This record gives sequence, C-alpha cells and structure tokens, in this order.
Amino acid sequence: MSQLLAPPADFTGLSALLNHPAPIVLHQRRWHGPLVALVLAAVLLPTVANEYWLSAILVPFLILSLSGLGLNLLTGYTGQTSVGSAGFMAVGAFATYALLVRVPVLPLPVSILLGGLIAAAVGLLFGVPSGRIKGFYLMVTSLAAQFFLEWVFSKFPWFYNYGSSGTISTPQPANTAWCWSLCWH
Amino acid sequence: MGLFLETLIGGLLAGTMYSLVAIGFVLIYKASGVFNYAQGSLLLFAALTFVTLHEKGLSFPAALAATVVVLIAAALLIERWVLRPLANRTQITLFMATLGLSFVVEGISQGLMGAEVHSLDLGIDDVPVFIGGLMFSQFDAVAAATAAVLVTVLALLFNKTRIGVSLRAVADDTRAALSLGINLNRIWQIVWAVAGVVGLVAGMLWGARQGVQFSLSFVVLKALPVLIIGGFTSIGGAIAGGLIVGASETLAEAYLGPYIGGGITPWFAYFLAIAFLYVRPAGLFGERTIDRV
Repeated sequence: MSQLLAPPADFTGLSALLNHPAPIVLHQRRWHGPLVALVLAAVLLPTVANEYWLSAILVPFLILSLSGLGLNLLTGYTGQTSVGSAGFMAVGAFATYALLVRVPVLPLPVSILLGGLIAAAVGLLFGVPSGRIKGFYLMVTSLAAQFFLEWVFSKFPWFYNYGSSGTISTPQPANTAWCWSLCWH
Repeated sequence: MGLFLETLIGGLLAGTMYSLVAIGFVLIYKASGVFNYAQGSLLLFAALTFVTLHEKGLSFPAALAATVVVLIAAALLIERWVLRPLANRTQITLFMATLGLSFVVEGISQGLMGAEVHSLDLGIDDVPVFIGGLMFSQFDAVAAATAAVLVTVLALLFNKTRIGVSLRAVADDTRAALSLGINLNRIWQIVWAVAGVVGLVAGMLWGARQGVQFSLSFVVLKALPVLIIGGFTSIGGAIAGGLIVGASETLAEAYLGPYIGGGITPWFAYFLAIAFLYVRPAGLFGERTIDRV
C-alpha cells in the first residue's frame, strides 16, 4: 500500500529540477534475468542436480510450466475457460510416440515437432465451437476433448502399440543429462 | 420396444442424480454469478462428513443434522474468506477462486477424514422392480423421488419465504436488490449453505451407489453438460438437462456404443452439450445473456 501512496519518481519533478530529462522507456524488455536463468539451468543444473531433483521436481516443473503456457494462451489471453488441456498434452505425447514407433527413420526432434503439430490440429478441431461461444460455456468443449481423448487412447490398442499396461514409454535418449520420458499416467 | 423403454426409463432415473448436482450449481450461479467449481468438492465433503459421523456412532438423523450444521458453518467461512474479499471481481476471477477452493475443500476433507472408500447404506436396496412388465432399479426410483421432493422444497423456499423472495431479487437485479436494503452477504451465505445441503443429498445418493470416495468430486464435471443443456440459471432447466443427459447417454451406450467400441458414457454428454450450444447457446431455459465472440 505504501508504494501506492508514494508518488512515482517521474512525477516528483526532481529530474526536471536537476536538468536531467527522464529517459522515456517504452516497455523495455529485460532479457538479462531470464538469460542468466536459462544458462544456469542448461549448464549448471545438470552438473549439480541429482536423480531425485531431476525426476521429482525439475522435470515435472518444466512439464507443468509448459502446459501452463498453453493454458495461459487459452485462458489468459482469450478468456476461454479450459479444464481439459491435459487431453492435448496426451495427444502430443501419443502422437510423438506413434511417430517414433511407426516411422523410426525420423529423428527425435522431428517426431516431437510433428507430434506438436498433430496436437495443434486436434486442438483446432475442438476449437471450432469457440468461434460461436466463449467463457464458461467453452469449458464443456475442453471437457469433451479431455474425456474423448482419454477414451480414444485407452480404447484403441493401436495408440499404445498393443502393450499390456495401456501406457506408453520410450527409451531415454542417450547422452542427455535431462530426463525425457513420454511415460503417461 | 421393451428394451428401449427400459433403457430410457433407467437413463431418465439416473439423470435425476445429475440434476441434483446441477441444482447446487444453479443456486449459486443465480444468486452471485459465480460458476462454483467447488460444488463437487463440497458434495464430497458433505457426504464424507455424514458418513464419518454416522460411523462414529451417531444415529442417522443426528449425523444428518450435524452435517447440515457443518455445511452452514462452511458456507459462512467461504462467504467471509473467499467471496467477500473478491466481491465485484470478474467472473473468471471468482471461478478461479472456487477452483482453488475445491482443492482446499478436498484437502481438508481427506486430511481430516481420510481417503479410504466408505460404504453408505441408506436402507434402499438396489434391486430391480417390475412395473407393467418393465424393469427398473428401485434405487434409481428412490433417487428420483428424492430429487422431486428436494425441488418442491426449493420451489417453496424461493416462492413462499422472505429469504427466497430476496434471493430472487438478487438474482434478478443485484443493484436494485442492494438499493432496497437486501443484505447481499447474507444472501450469499444462505445460498452457499443451501447449495451445500443440496450437495449433501446428492452426495449421499451418489455415495450409496458407488461408495463415498474421492472420485465423488468428479461428478461436478458431469453436471456441466447438464447446465449447458438446461441453462445456468434455471432449476427446472437443471432437472430437464439431467434427464436429457441421463437418457441420451444411456441410450447412446446401448445403441451406438457397440458400433464404436463401447464405454462412451464418459464423453457422450459433452458432445451432446456442444451440439446443444450450436442450436440453443443459452440452454433450454437459460437467460439469453451469452457472450458472442
């Protein structure tokens, strides 16, 4: 509250008095902080983090942040309430898995990219009703996506490659300190 | 034809269970414009409190009364700590607050009363009954009768009591109601308490059917298509929506399911609701206030 009561520095007239015109800064992005964090995460973390920190905290943290980014696009920017975004996460994971298993010639990054595109296409399909409605009513679309996709991925064995457990997992890529797991559930 | 009628009646009766959950939503949405995501958690909390008290040795009526008292206390706390600080915020803010509230309520219920599955015996056997050569479940019939009684009581409450009239005034025009001296906070307290009691009834019926357990809080998700179809602001709509969802998903499972692999009840209702959105965006009985893009 005290911050609100104190006038901002620009309005005190102090800078004008000292004949220093206040620099006009229009939403200058500060990249230093994120850049340092990124370098630390990419270089420092793998050398100090142990298995527990990676698999229990850091990687889930990244996964949840990514899904949070997707949700922020949907709810934050366009105000469309979604409670079924995990369904689209599943599409991406299952699509990448299907590509890895059935089109082994593709390198992993390409499979991941294509998996993302497939998830986007499915999202587009379920986004069609958003052309007519918005807000809470759209929650039903996201739930339709969630439950329908869950049903598809558990009902048709093609998606989990006829495995007995009904879940999918890929071998960990070698020579990467970061854990990559497509394990669902 | 006999099979069709039996499926239809079974679906309609099961649909009243959805209606019961949806009514709790409608009450709060009408009075405060809040889409209460925590209704499912409240339902779980109510049913869990009742079962725990009953297992601790309280008689059926005593446990019921004690649970109602707990629910009223919960409504007072929620109004004071969640709704009042967020008054006049946007709908999405309040929705997010109830989303958070649902986690708090679930955490408290499981922390205090444990996560194990409790069985709840209401003394109604789930046995088939034959009437006119048609078979249906006795339990579903009792659930439907309960829903009918509850709706009658709510209708009386809204139309014949002073509280009910002020509640309708708030729902109709909040500013006008405020200027007439209606205490909005009191109305919110009452409506959350009533929604809690409706949740208790719904939770007891669902709990008797599938056990009082964590997954009870997910019935809230099935109430959403009911609300879309019936409209967010109409109790009659919640009933009609529940019946439509119950009947159509049972029929779809029986007649459409075998062609596409079965087990389609988890998602069928949502697609039905989307179809309804295209035809009647405000639901069957809702007010036409939907925002268009």
